[in-house]
Amino acid sequence: MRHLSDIEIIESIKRGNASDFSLLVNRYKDRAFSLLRRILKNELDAEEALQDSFLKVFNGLKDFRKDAQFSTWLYKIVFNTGLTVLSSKKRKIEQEMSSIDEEYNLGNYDNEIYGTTENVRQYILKMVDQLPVRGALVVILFYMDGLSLNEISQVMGTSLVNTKVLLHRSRNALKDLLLKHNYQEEML
Amino acid sequence: MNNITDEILNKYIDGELEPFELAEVKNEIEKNDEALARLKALRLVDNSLKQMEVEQAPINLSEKVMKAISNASKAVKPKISYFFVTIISLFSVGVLGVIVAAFRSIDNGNGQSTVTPYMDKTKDVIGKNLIEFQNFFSNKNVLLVVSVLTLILLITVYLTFEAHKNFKNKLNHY
Repeated sequence: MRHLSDIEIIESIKRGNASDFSLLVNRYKDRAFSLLRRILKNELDAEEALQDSFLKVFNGLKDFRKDAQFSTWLYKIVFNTGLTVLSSKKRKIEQEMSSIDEEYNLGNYDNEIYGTTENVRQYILKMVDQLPVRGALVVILFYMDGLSLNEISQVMGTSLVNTKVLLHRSRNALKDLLLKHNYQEEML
Repeated sequence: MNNITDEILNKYIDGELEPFELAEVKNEIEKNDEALARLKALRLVDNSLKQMEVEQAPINLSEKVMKAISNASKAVKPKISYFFVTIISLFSVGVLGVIVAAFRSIDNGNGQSTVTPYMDKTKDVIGKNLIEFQNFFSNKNVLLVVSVLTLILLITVYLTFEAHKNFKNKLNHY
């Protein structure tokens, strides 16, 4: 079967084939779920937010412009839904989310995670979850979803410069932890 | 380049340095163990993050989403089609107008009643107007007008029914 592009699927849905939306859900659900789980740090909340996100996407398809990148638009909805859920849970969203000047203090969890991980890769991936939300999301969108910094800035509503700063800060924070544990010596 | 900052190292691993900057950084790193360690650690971070795996969403998520969409669609009340309501209202007003006009013309003495035995029996019960109504419909011109109006009404009803059926199909499809 020919691989349908996002736009082809959307056109089909707009013609009345609503069941084709499941193709888009299956295509993006894992990546969107990964993103939401990082934002909400809870699988149940992430699943609920994911359903809500896809519902918003479906209802918004009629306004979706063909010239836009569907994945960027979808991630933006997922991202904002995640933030809304986070906000409704009365976490300290302003403290965590409002600026790029978030605290990269990973020391609280470092010893525990360092003691329970088997290798450097596992250690780094676990520490990503401890990054400030925006920092973690930039890392996820950049490395896991393969979005460009420009696309990430559109998703997150930040400037390109700030997006790059967030990525660098996140990598630097992880790099400092590796230096602390002398992990760099493992690299030849 | 005496001081190799983290910013420069990030640009280095992203391949964003100009050729002359790249040469300087490489040269500096050869002499600076501390910068080399930072570069190694940053590369390790970069390589590890590139191997980051996508997490699996819950298995039945697609079904849940499609069900939620279906439920949301059913919850939306269908809008009243004012177009069809207007057409039917106008049609009804037209029919009433024709009937009223016909009764007036009968009152003027155009009607000639043909009273059947059955109508004789009901005449006392329903009244004189019913007989006049029957006479009215015995007129060929009136019959033609009523037939045309009836045809229009049937077409309107058919179109309304089809529109409603399509809308229901669309809802069920969701």
